[in-house]
Amino acid sequence: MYIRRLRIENWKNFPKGDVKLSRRLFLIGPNASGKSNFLDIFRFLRDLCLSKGGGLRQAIESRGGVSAIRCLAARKYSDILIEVELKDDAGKDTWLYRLSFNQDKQRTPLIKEERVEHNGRVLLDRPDKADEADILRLTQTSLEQINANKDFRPIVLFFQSVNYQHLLPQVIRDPQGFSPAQIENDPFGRDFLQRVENTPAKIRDSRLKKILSALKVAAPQLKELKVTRDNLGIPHLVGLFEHWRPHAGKQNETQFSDGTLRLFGLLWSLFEGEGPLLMEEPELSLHSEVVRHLPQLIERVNRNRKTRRQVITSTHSEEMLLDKSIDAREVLRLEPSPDGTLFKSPLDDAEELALLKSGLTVADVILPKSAPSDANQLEFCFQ
Amino acid sequence: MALIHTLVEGLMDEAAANCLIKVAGHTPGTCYGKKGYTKIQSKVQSFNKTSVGAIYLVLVDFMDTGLACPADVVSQWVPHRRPNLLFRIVVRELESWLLADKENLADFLNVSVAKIPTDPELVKDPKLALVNLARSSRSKSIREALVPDPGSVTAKEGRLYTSEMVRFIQERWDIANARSNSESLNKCCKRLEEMAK
Repeated sequence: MYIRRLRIENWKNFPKGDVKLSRRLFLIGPNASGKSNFLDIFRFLRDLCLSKGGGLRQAIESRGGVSAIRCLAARKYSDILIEVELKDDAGKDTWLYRLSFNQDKQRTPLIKEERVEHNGRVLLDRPDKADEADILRLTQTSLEQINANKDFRPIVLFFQSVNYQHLLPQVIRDPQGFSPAQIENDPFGRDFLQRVENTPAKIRDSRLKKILSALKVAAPQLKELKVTRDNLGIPHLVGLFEHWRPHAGKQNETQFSDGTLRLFGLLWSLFEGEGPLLMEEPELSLHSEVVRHLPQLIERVNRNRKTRRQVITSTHSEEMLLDKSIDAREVLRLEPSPDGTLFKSPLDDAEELALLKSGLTVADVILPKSAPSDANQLEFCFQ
Repeated sequence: MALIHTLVEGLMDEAAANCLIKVAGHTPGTCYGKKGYTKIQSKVQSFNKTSVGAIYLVLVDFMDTGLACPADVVSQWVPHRRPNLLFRIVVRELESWLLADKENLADFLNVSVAKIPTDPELVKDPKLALVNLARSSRSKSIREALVPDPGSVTAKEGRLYTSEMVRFIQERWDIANARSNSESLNKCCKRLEEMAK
């Protein structure tokens, strides 16, 4: 299953937007244009469905409340709306999920509309009579209730499978420095090595073997890679590096370079999970030549899986976008304006389309448009 | 055996240049450019000036230059070419040199040899020809890797086109066979062989 279309209103940077999504999508935009907030829409849908610590209230609270989510450009209509259209891999089934919410005077989040359609047939249309009789019902979505969602369980499972990765090397090295308690499924890596260690040995070893062969290309000194536990039961990533003293080359994650850890995390996340993969600037800390190969590497790992997952990547990287196989459908540019961020697809721009068709790459045509217009003023701020 | 650096348009050209250098008995050095032909056009003069001690192999797709004949490219881009700068024009683009190794390419793409054009330097759009050959492949994995997804609007190649073609170049491409079908490739090989070893 993948997300084929997204419609939003008043979500963070975005006052309004309706956009088709492909199975591979590159998000391009200047700093603070809303790339992470775009990815957060899908994380929000996942948070609604999580069996542990999920639900509407928690998903909104963890984002600072309705007012913090609502777009600053929202005026007369202040409801926040998310609508997604999902399509299964065989192309037979389509699902539609729509949620619109706001808050009451006590700032309690309240559902304004919740709707589920399966192949055009309406399975859920709230508020219904029961909601009118008991307004408290409107504080919970049907996604988070097992009794209410049995007719559309596939979309609940799909939202749960959304996987967001933005591993920070510093966090992997010292998880407890960032939070003493362990956090589950932390996108920044607080439980990353724990997750690696908890993977069944056979699967873990096979992944580590594949990852090692890729890491060796990027860092040729690396010879061996394994996960071990220390005396306190804390898992460590151990690499053996080539060194003239045979035993001196053993290093653990605290000594790994940022690039090695980022690449390790990125490769691991390609294997982990089933649903859509959201990647935040995978190019960070990596050599441009390695970045250049990321789109084809990600595609190759994806093709070797049982089901191909949707991959949505935010990036500033020219090297990544030089890949000539990236189609106009696979690019979404976020353009900030005084009224919030707008979606720009090359499909709607005759000039961009003509340039791409003439053989230029997304790096040549679209990336320059995402540059801040006054970048040449940066250094003059310090005169 | 000489150390030869390269200045090329992209990843496939890099792989091909390194193979050519090795086959001629030399060692490939640093690869420069790899961001299209405009980068070569703007930088080649600087490399030419420094090519006193170092040796460079420059490959440019003739198709991309928009000029009428290969000799024009050399005279316009590097008017005072030094002997250590091997400036070679690929007629018409790198895919022509791959099509020139008919038997191996047919085998790699899983198509009949009869489908591969006999004179690759005359094929107007060699990449399109190669992608179309892949389209008619008996192998599903070749079709999926090299042909753009159905519904593509601007993409002219499949998502694994570059990496699969680099694999072909590195593992299968027989330069001796290919040069007999492509004069521009043959000349390039000859210049490399003439370099003092």
